[in-house]
Amino acid sequence: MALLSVEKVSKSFAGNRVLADVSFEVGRGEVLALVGENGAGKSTVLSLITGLLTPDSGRVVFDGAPVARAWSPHRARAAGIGSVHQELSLNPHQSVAENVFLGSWPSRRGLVRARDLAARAEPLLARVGLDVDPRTPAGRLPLGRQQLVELAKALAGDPRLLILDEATSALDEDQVAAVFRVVRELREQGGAAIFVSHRMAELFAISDRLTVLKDGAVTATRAREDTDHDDVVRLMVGRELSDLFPPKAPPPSGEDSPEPLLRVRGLTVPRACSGIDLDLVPGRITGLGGLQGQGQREVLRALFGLARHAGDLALDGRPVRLASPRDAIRHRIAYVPEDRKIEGVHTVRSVRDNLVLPSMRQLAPARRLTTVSRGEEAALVEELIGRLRVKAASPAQEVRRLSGGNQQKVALAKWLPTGPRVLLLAEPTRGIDIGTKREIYHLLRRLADDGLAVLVTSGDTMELVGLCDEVAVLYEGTVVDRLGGPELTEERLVRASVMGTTSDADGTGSVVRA
Amino acid sequence: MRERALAAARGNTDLLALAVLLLVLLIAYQHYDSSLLTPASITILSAQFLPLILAAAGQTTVMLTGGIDLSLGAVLALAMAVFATYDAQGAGGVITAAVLALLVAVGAGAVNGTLVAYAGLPPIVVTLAASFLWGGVTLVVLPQPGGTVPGGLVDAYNNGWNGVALPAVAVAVVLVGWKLLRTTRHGLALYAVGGNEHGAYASGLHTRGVKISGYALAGVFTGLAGIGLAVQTGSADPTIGAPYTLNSIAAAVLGGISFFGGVGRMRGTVLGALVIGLLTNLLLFTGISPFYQLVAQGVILVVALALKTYLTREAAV
Amino acid sequence: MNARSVRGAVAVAATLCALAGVAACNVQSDSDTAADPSGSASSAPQAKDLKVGWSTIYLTPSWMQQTLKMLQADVDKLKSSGKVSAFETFNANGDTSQQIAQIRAMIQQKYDVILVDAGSSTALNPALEQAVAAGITVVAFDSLPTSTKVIRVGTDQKAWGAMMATWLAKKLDGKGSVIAMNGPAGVAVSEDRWSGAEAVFKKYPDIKIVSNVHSEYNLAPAAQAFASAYSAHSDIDGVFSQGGALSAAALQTLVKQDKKLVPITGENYNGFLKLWQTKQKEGFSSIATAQPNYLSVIALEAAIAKREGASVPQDITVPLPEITDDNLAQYAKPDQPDDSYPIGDISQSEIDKLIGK
Repeated sequence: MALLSVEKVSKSFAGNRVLADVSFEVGRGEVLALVGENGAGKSTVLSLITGLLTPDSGRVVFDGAPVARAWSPHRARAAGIGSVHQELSLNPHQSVAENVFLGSWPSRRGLVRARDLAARAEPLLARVGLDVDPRTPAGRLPLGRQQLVELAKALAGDPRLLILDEATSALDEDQVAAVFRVVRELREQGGAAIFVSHRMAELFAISDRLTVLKDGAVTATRAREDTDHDDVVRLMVGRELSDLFPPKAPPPSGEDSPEPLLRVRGLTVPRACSGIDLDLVPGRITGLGGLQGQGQREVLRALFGLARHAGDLALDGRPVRLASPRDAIRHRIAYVPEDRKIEGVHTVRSVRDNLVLPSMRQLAPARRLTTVSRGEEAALVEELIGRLRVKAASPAQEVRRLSGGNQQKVALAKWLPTGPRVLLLAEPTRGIDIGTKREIYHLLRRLADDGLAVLVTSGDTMELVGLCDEVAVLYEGTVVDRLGGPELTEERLVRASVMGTTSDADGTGSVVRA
Repeated sequence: MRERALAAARGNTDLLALAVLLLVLLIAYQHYDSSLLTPASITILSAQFLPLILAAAGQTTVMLTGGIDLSLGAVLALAMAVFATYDAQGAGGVITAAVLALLVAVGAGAVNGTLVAYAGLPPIVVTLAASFLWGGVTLVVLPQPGGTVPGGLVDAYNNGWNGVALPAVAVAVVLVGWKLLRTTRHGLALYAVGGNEHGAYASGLHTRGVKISGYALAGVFTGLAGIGLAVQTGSADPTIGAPYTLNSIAAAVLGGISFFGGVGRMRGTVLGALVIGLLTNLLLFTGISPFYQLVAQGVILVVALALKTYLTREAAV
Repeated sequence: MNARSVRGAVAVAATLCALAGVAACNVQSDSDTAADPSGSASSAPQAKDLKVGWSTIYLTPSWMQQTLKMLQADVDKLKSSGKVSAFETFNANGDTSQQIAQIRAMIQQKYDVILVDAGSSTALNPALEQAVAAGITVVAFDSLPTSTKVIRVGTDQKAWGAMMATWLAKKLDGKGSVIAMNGPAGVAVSEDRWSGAEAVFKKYPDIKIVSNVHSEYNLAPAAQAFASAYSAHSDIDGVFSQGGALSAAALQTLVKQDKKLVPITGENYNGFLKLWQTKQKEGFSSIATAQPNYLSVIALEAAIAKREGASVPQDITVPLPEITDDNLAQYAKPDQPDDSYPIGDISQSEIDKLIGK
């Protein structure tokens, strides 16, 4: 008998059907991958299992017993279901140890002792490959490590079923390996896992079977041996993988290398990176690669004036100072941040409000006494929505009601009317479904073709290789390798990221910068 | 040893700055009133500050859950009215009156918490509405200033009991009690819900229950503040509570309690309340004209808050 | 210099600046606190160099400003005769706990005389009694505490209510419906005035209080409160009002709505007196009394007398002035703002009589 079976569950939100008669099973000692585009219903079905939501019809059976109507996260956890979601459930102000045992702190005579808590957290942290002081406030850790704390927290409930919903999206490859180790241990002990990821390679590396969801219904469940990447993508979107990435720019011809638009020399951000050299060239997409948290994010923030930095910056050959986002915007540099819900978009404002915000000066000129021209505003919004194919019910819809991919499009689109020359993007497709990913890749390439210089950071190796013309690999805050043209392969990128050295053909490796 | 002291200091930059400010105020105070460090002065001052400290402790508890309590002054006056209206005879009577007052305050807090947790309304709206409710109930209990508190108790509180400053003892008890609470599941849950409510819910915490118990606990502190004020003044006054609402928020914020919940310590709040209390007293000594006193008080508070933010900003990155 | 020490330096500098600012304000105040220590010797036969403080629950209302002006004039007189050396005003700004702190501070600073306009009838008692125990002469005026250990200079608030109610009842020949305009619930003055009035109205069973309105003693909220009560009971025969702003609000509403100007009781609030005067020829009739500003002067003189060994009575009840249709012209001041309280000075002989000299 299966450990978990989901039987014909349906769920609607405000008359909008998001799940229709979905059924699948997870057996003991099995890892099931749940695959689908964003909005296919993965998160909803997982929420039914973890007790965040209750189904309209159908039922969930765990360990032979149908779960009660009054299913709740508390009961699910007690029954042996542990879950890690893409959205962090950590309290940034409490210590790692306190977070690991959140809600079920072990106490002796009513008192929870910090030392006790730390000692109990240590083995769990070790299991997920985390080497941190359990007393550190969770918010001080980088995103990837916080994600692992989430995993340790799920393990603290001693689960028989582990649900990993995009739990690896912020992790580097070592960290992913640690997650896989945990999942395999659980499988060997007769437990089970449901695994959701946008990284196809991970799905095939860990799962025994794959269930594909499309538009709230199951399209197929296949054993891993019976399928491949292309097959799964076809099942998800009905489209081949081959046109995921647009063709790249032609390599610079011979001697005359193109004049860089933004020249960066010796960029240093305290405690993040030092001595970074970059040439951002119009028409080209440059990538920043490397493991998670090697300083990629800070480079982008510095170039947008968000992080205090030292070093020489020149735009069009003239030195510039970027002390604040105002400076950067004045120089027509645009930034689409990693955490789009905080820095990228105003989630509770409408699509329209978000799109026109950077263009207020043009829309509300002094001659109109700084009142907004509604007509021009509507025209602009319509154009942007059409150009980026933003899927919104209307321009008045709140951004938080959009899918992640469409939120990202809004975060990007709002800069276009300001005529940016340099575009900085951090993790532009994290947590976004493959169809929208493709749209964003093609859009970035079109923007580059229009003469923009684009700089992208990404934790997804395939994305960097497929999208960028050149990739600078960062390791502990310095550039250790630059890959372009035929040298830019997943293998060489990974090797440079992990070894912190250039990927010389002879394989001996040498440190580029001390 | 030195290492550890330094490390502790680093983690407490804001508290340290507040302590320094308090020290400066104390030195200035000593300049105007050389009897400051005598037992009599300490008793008088602690008697005067206790209600604000306790009220600020109540406000802190609510703010830690991510809320705010605009009805605090009204609940304080209600507890005060209940305590003084109950005609207490002897020690037993006083205890009965105190228990009654506390029950009423805890009940009021629990009602506030329930409204916040289940009505899904912002705490600022709920407690603003509740402030009228509890203000009205107070007038029903005690339509005009009056009531009695046994004279011996008033005397012991204001002038010391066998040389012991009872209010100072009360503050110590609150701090120790809070320290214990912080190490219980309830205390941790309070901080967890305030820090990331959705995360706490998804982790299986009964967030509504935690909120309700947080507001109820705040009721305990507010009730104690009301009792303290009744004992200090020897009576009750239905309109005396109002200034405590904003003063308690000021003390908590000065003490480092975040408006967004989940961050802050009770020690900070106690320091903040002491700073506010000492500051107003100090300004009385300086002989500044009354309206300039308000200006000076505002300026010093803004400067203190700005400094605190400045001092702790880099530590947060 | 690293960032930490810079921050530390900023912290110290800012604190010092703040305190320097306090000191600068100090210069602007008019106090000369260098009191002769011999002045604080208790019950000297001739008062000399007394240090006087006044703690008031509010200072901003114009009544308080007028009171302060009158008090200051008397202080100046006493200063020139050497009886008073220093005078300070403390404003609690509505916060009773703050007022307790002020009284405590005055005790610690060894004031000789504390005058107080109390924010609570009960809450100040322990602090005031502590001051008395410390040998300080404490005199309360206007809004009084219940403590019997301090000298209390006030008017009889119940008599106030009774005076208004009696006049109104007689005016209405003992029958009719009346709207009562009272102060905020829970405030002692308001409750006292109303209880005095209620006792009178009980004797006239045919007078019906159709609505009992509570409002701040301010024009705008009072006008709103009256308007809503009046819309429900527009057939009233009179208005019992226990405060000038309340009376003015009621009368203004009637005038604005062009309604019958029924009798309304009043106070020496100039806005009301002026309107009363202009509407007198249209048949409007009223009575008013006053909380005289010279209460403060009597209080100070009582304190000085007590220091000089006179046997000052514990409770000094100052008779309420009576403003009627006949003597209205003496009080109403058409050239002064609405928000003032015209009242004559009190003669020294009357003061002496009241304080038992």
